[in-house]
Amino acid sequence: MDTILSSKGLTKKYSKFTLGGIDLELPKGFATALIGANGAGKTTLIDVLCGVIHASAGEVTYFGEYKDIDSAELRERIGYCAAQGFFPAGWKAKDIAEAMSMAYAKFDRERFNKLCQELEVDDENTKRSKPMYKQSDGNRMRTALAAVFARETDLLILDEPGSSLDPLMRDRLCDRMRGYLDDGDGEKSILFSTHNIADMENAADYVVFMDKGQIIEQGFVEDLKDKYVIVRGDAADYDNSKALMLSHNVNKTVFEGLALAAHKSRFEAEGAVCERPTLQQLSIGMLKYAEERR
Amino acid sequence: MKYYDSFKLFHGKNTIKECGALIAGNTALLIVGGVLIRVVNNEHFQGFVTGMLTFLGGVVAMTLGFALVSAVFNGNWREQPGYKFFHSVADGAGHFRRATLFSNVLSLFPIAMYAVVGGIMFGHFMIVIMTITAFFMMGLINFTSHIKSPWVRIGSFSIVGFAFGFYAGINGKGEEDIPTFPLNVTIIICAILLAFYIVSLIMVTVKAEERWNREG
Repeated sequence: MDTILSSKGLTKKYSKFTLGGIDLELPKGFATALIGANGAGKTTLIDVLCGVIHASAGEVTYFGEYKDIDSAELRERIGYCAAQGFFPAGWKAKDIAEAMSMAYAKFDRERFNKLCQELEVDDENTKRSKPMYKQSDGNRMRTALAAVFARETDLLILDEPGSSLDPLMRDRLCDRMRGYLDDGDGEKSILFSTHNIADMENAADYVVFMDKGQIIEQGFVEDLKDKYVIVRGDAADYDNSKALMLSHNVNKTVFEGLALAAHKSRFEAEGAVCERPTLQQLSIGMLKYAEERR
Repeated sequence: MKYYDSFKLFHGKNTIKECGALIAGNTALLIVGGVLIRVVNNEHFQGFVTGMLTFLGGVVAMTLGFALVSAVFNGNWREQPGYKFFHSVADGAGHFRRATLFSNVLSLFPIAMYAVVGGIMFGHFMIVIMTITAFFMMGLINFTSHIKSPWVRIGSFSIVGFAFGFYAGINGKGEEDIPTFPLNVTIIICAILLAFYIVSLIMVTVKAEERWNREG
């Protein structure tokens, strides 16, 4: 597998939280979803990868050659967008365009304005445009996404890009992410974090599950869907199945949970039904499994 | 150009034009006030214009200077929106250092313009007070740039009124007299505060990279 980014022992220590050591390999030419509950360390990992904060230990290799995130050439190739408050509160679209032009050689102002229009937010030419602090969370995110997509990059790293967007806009974002990968012809990649996988499912090819600063599972979505099953059965049969289940959800009538596909025949022998999980079900199952193991 | 570009990065626009417009407006206010004092022969009016206009205009000049530098320092506060944008840009520490220096120098222009025009319109003491206040305030802003709370920096605005009162009071003259210092004392005070400002400027630019890379 060609990797766009790999890390070994990547660690970031805070007084009440430690990220890592993270061993990560992101495939080139694909969109990777970083999935985890609130506080799992997704934003911390993204911030370390983008050089916003510094790692306490470990190393990261970008594009197979760069090891120093402070390299100007490397930062020019990475498009980063934070979850909230990416641009100063008092800035308008024109200020954002000016600053992005200062900061990045390959920022296309025309494309930025066109994207703003498509995303229905103020562009540079909007009369009486509003500063960021007067815009909704959704509009702020749309403006930030327009800015990052207006750059010529090889790797997009987006922190919860869909969190403040409505379902229609999330769907458009997925299309735009797909378009970005298609235009790259296998040379461009995306890493995005989310805890709203239901709406972002179409965007993800590879997935990394995180819990409490650790990676608990990673792999291509289709491979993981083959590796795990969703088990459903009568509550009366639950005791026979629970030992093999990774996550559990039981009430008076039925039980449901995630398990390894390797045990499928045993579940079916007990009268349970096994089916291929959606990414949403896989995510919930993995995160529940991690929570129960703590 | 490089310094100006870094300054523009933190302000996101061509702030120079806006500064110019504000300086022009503030200066016009002083000129109008100065002319009115000479034309309107009314003690109360003259006192009102002298007191209110000189103070408010001084605060506007100081605020502009403060805002120019503050926007740069805010880019390095994690709690402020924009932090992640600035810290994701290549050579962020270099931009921060250059923008700090440029904004510091630029911040003196509105204050200097106000001091000169005010001195012509209202008397030479305006030049002295504004010079003393400018150097002390901007020096204080630089020295306290590492402190998160903005109250220390905002509190420096009180220096405008304090300096005027101190300058008048130290001379022991009545309120109706324009206060004056002996020239040598004035020069010494200005020189000390100029040194204070220069030291603060050196400190803040030398430590820029270290502060930029420090998290929190």
